[in-house]
Amino acid sequence: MLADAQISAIFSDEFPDSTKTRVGLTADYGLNATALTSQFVSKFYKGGFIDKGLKDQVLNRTKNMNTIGADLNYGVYVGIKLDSIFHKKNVSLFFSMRDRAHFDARYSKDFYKVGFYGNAAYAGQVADFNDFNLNYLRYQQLQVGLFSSKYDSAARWGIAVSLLKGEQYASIFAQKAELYTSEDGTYIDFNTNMQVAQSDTANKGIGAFNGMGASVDIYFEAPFKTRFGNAKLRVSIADIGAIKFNNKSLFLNQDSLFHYDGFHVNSVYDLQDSTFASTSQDSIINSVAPFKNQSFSVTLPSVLNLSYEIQFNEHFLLVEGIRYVFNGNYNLLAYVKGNFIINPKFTISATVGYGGYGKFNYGLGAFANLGKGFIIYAGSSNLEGFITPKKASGQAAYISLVKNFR
Amino acid sequence: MEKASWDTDILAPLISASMNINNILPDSILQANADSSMKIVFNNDLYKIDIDTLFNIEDTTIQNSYALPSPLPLPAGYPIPFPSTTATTYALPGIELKKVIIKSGFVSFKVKSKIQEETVYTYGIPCATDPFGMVFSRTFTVPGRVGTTPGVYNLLVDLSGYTIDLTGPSGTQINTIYTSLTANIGATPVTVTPADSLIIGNTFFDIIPYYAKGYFGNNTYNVGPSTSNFTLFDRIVDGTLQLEDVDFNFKIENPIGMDARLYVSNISSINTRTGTTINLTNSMIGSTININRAAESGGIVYPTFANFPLNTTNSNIKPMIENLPNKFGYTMQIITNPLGNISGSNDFIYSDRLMKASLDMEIPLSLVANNLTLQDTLALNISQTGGTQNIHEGTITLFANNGFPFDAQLQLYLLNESNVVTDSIFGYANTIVEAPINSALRVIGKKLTKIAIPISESKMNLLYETKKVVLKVKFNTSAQPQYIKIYSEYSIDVKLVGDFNYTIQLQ
Repeated sequence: MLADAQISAIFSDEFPDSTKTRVGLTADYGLNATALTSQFVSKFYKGGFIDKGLKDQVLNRTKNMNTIGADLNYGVYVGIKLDSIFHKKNVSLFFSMRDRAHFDARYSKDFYKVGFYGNAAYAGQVADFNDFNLNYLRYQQLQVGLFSSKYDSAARWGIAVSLLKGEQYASIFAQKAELYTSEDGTYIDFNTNMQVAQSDTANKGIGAFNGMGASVDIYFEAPFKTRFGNAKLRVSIADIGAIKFNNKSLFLNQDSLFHYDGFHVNSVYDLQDSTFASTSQDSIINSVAPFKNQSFSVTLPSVLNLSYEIQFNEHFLLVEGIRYVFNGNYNLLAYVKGNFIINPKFTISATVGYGGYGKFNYGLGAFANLGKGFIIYAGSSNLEGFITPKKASGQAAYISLVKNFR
Repeated sequence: MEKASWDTDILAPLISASMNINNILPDSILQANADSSMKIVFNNDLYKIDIDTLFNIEDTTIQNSYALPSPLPLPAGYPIPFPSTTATTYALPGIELKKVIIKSGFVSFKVKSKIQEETVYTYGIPCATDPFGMVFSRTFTVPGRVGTTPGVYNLLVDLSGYTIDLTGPSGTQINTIYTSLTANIGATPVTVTPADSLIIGNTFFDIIPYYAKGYFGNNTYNVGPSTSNFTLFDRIVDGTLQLEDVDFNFKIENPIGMDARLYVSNISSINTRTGTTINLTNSMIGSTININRAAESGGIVYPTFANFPLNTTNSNIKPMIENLPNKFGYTMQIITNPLGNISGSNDFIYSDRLMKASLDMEIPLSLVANNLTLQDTLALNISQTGGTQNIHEGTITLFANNGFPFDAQLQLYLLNESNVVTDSIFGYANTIVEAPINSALRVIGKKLTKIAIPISESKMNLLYETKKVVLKVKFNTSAQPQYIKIYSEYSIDVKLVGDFNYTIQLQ
């Protein structure tokens, strides 16, 4: 199980015949980056002074193009076997409600250096911020779906549709962004072709209804036999959809060369008045970046999961898979997961992967049937950021508590 | 929660300016000659004669009591017998006013009635008409007494804009204002006894005329010795300035319909900084100057002027100006209507048109400046919240591309709250170098000077606490001792570039 909110997570274990209904609570978060270390991110988020040593630590890992991404999801779901209602065997109806947040960014080495070291080192040079991209999306999801819940050798499928409430969105995409600082510092040129979008800034918080949308999740699982044992091929695509944010949103499409050569003083008497103090940041921003109110649609970051699992024996199951997030500055993640089935009620798993928002990914997880219908999943798909915070960024955790009712 | 922060090295332009002489001196005092050389055109008032100088209308109160000699039953609406008009003559020695238009002022009217029933009054100022020609009149009811407590009525009227005829009820008097009052029994018949008195108070106060007409008298006013501030050289604190030429005009403007005679005993240039005073030498000093009255037609005033040119050939005005005065001193005597009432009491004055003596000056900017030092105190408010507080240390570099034919040495002093200098910005001599000139003493290009100003962390902290700075600039013109002209096209490009260690603090 990877840290995400997909329908496969709801029915990843057997939904036994003896169970008519299940209720689950899920929560997961994940953060990873190719260059930023866990220590750096922690300091940036929790506060404190980021010293040169910490900046250098990240700089040494920074490539020409770097990524960072984070997700936070939590919610509740209810699964109901339809045969208890419509005498439809092996098909379950489920509902879920989730609060979801996603962040991703792609930035250049120069962007990091200018941002954290300043532009002085770029005197007489161009700092290349081209292809900078940043996205932040937070929304709430109300989902209804059907799932083939028979956990045996038959193929299983699932489909769900969701109604989405857009809470907050911010995005910057700079196809072109170049900052030139003149040798003597007498002027700075910023040449950019960028789009900036932001949802209603006056309406924030989980109650904010700034947009509306819909999405679809699809899941398919096909079992077959191999000479090593029983195998399954799984494919799922989650969050195929979009949210349309309302016309109180702000949008900017700018293709300009900004030339700054200082605050212009027209007379020595300007020095005597409050010219400087009265020039607000807002007025400067409005003059160089004239945002306009405009409605726009945002495509969700859609998650593709493709995995192949082989049950070598009753104690070991191996999963190999790939994962990709569309519209999310994500690199293809390839992973291998080993499930060590200690007994039917307790399984531990270990995951190794490469890609995603970071580089190497290491994870551990556990499944436990606690009896009386209670099942718990807990673990992390990224432990490297906890273990080596100075060298890695990935950190993630998930927990799912399920109660099956007869 | 503490926010993340980190240090950066920022290199950025701070201030950019391209300034010609119009950006350095106020446009209002600069004019270009035909050859585009510049001159300062400045006017400085020495003394003004206004209405208050000639006369002042004091506050006036008239209070009268009335009672019947014996009880008298009076029917409803019956007039109460008492004098219907009251006149007051202002004491204005030597002044004979026939008419004023009031700029601002009030009349308050108060009636105390001991008559048992209510009474109806009509109060008027027959000599006062409003801007629409309506004679002032108010009708009001005064309540009857309750027990021994008299009925009281107060009326306050703003007289702004009213025209007052001061010739009295007969039309032959002067300085006289009069009012009228009639009173009638109200709707209820009543017997009025001798104890049922009426007390009527009437006060004109804060009367300021906008216009006055009459005879303003033959009076002598001694003016001074006194001084008038002269601000043109306010910022000069040291050095000398030699001017090739100056052209002054001592001017008297008379918009008052009144003849006058003026004796100017003295005009002097006073530099209180150096303690130097230079008296004007010119034939005007000590001579009689007759000033003719202004004319008025259809509300338009045609002032008269008396002009006395002062130049390098007829006076010592040039050294007076090179004295860099911050005050002009003057002593004079003014005699009004020296020939008496020859206008038939048709003198007039408007409060916004004042007789004044002034100096009109033209100073061509052809000069020699020798260590001429200008100083100004500027407010400094490095914002605590705008992010500048996060600058720790660095260097400010001044790029000055000078197109003026003079060099300039800069210094910036930091002042504490007691205006005591705590530090300076430049720790060493620095000079913005003069522009190159040709044989005609005209600038042929600009000269770039780069001055680096290191700002240590301690100096930066001092700057944060500093609320005022003193900017001092010392000028020396090129090709001394020759006079250098300043042309309109001369300019200096100034740029301040900061190279700072700056802490970014997330908000």
